[in-house]
Amino acid sequence: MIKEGYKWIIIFVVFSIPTIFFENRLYMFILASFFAIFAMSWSFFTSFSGYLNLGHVIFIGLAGYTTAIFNYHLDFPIFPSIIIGVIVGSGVGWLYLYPLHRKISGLSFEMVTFLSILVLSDLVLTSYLRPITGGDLGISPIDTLLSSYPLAIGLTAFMCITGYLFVIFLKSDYGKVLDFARENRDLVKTAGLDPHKYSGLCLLFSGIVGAIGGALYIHFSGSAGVKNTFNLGLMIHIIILAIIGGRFSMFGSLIGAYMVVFLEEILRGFVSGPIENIIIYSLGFLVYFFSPEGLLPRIVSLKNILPLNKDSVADNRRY
Amino acid sequence: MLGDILYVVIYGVVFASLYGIMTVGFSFICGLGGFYDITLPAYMMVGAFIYVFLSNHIGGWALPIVVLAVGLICLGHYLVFIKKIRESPFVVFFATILLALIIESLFEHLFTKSYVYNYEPLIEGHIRILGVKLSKDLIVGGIIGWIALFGLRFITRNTNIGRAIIAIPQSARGSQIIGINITRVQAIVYLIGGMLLGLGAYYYGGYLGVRSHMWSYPLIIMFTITVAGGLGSIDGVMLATLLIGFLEVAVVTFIDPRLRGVIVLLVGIIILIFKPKGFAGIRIG
Repeated sequence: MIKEGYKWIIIFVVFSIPTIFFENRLYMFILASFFAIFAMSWSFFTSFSGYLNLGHVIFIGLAGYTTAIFNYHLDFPIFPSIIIGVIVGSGVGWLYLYPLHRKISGLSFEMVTFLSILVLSDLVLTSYLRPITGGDLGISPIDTLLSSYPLAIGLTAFMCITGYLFVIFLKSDYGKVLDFARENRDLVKTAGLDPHKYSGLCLLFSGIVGAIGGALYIHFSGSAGVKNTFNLGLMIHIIILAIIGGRFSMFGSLIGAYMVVFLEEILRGFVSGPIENIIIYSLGFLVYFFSPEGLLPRIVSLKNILPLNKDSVADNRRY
Repeated sequence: MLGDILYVVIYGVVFASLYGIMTVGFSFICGLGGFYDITLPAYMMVGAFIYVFLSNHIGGWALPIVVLAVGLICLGHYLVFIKKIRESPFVVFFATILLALIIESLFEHLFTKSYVYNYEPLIEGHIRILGVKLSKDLIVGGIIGWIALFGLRFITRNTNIGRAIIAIPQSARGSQIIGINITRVQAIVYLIGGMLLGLGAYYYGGYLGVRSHMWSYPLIIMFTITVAGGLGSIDGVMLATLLIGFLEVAVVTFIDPRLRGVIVLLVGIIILIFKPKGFAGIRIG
């Protein structure tokens, strides 16, 4: 546990230092931190519980819209709005997804979570909710978190603390039960344990972190709209970040996020938005198709630095 | 009120058949493989764009070319991508979502996001049925749709290939043991399903206009009908297309057109949760 703590302190230092030298790119580092938080929180539930959750943006979107509604329509100050957003986003999202994952599993769970994003994005655009959600235009302007050193350092710290706590959970007895349940749910039940209790706990932590990230992200963006909340493209983006870095590792998801956000920043100077999407989606497709354990683990294992351990707690099974 | 009810019934039947053309191929492809191939509605969109541009040069002859083209695209898609990963439904599902998004982004780049392309129907004019005005082109599409559905029903019950299509989802290993070539059957289903999608592309694109993100609503329709009818069940698909056709037209007529997508989706979610096999199909995943 202490060793893991030192590792995450080093990660914090390594990822904070560049912000001092690249002041004019602070925005990029902050964005990368946000997506690292999203990728780690998604990966924490999906990769380790065995349920491929395509509705993680439900936490992000509910938190985002709630904080925007309280801030814009009800004139709440930014931080109370964020707190309320996190409570609503994580609470409502968990109340929906927890019974869902108890009732259905496998491809059905994937499809329902996938369709849920489409339902929510359609709903916020309907004229019934437009006075509250702003419809296509979204809710704007809201109080904004400006690109600054405190925000960059604070987010990096939150990202590392989250990563550390996730790893501690996964290495604990709870994590071990989760691993067994992923392999054989019935065996865990036979031992008198409820596997859904453990995956439900995983989902709750994943949702809380996702909601915190979502609420903060909306205020960093300056507006809440379908594009940065209930968006299939955003969900797929988050998954690609985790896949590229290696989704069976919190550090892998983090690295994947930084790699892709920096790549997008480079591409933005040369190509249009749709072409940028094509490149990122194609990269995700190729990695998922040919190297489901992730791009980074494969590169690292080729150099025999950290060989892939197929017997390790998290295997490289595709989900 | 009676006029509205007649409108719902007549338009419901017509739309049911159009959705049936699009969906029966999707349902068989997915039922046969035991997975959801999300790229199929995106290929339908590709077919619609091909029709828009070809029809400017060769008129109505573009339709058979589009039907064949989409069939061959789907066949190529199966042989290049799906065949390698068909054993894992999760991988197929996620990989095909990525492919669909790549296709959407490509068309957004080529044709811009907001522009809508329209084209003239092959058969112009309208007729009135029980006081309800319908375009002749739509009626012909409806008739073709029901012929296709009943034709496929006949094939699945009375031909060897049809029996193989029904047998494989029930037991792939058993089917192989008795000599059914799963790859060959799946390839044929992808080709025929793709051709039906090509036909659906003409009618759907003609009705709603062709744009770079037009694949998402057909995906919702196809998915909901497939889930409601049950994967691999032609009877289930026929029943479900009527249900969804009536539901959609009823929502547009009596409630609010802007809610049709939401309500259709909710039906799909509810069925997946409480009746995963649908009316008469198999459960996957």
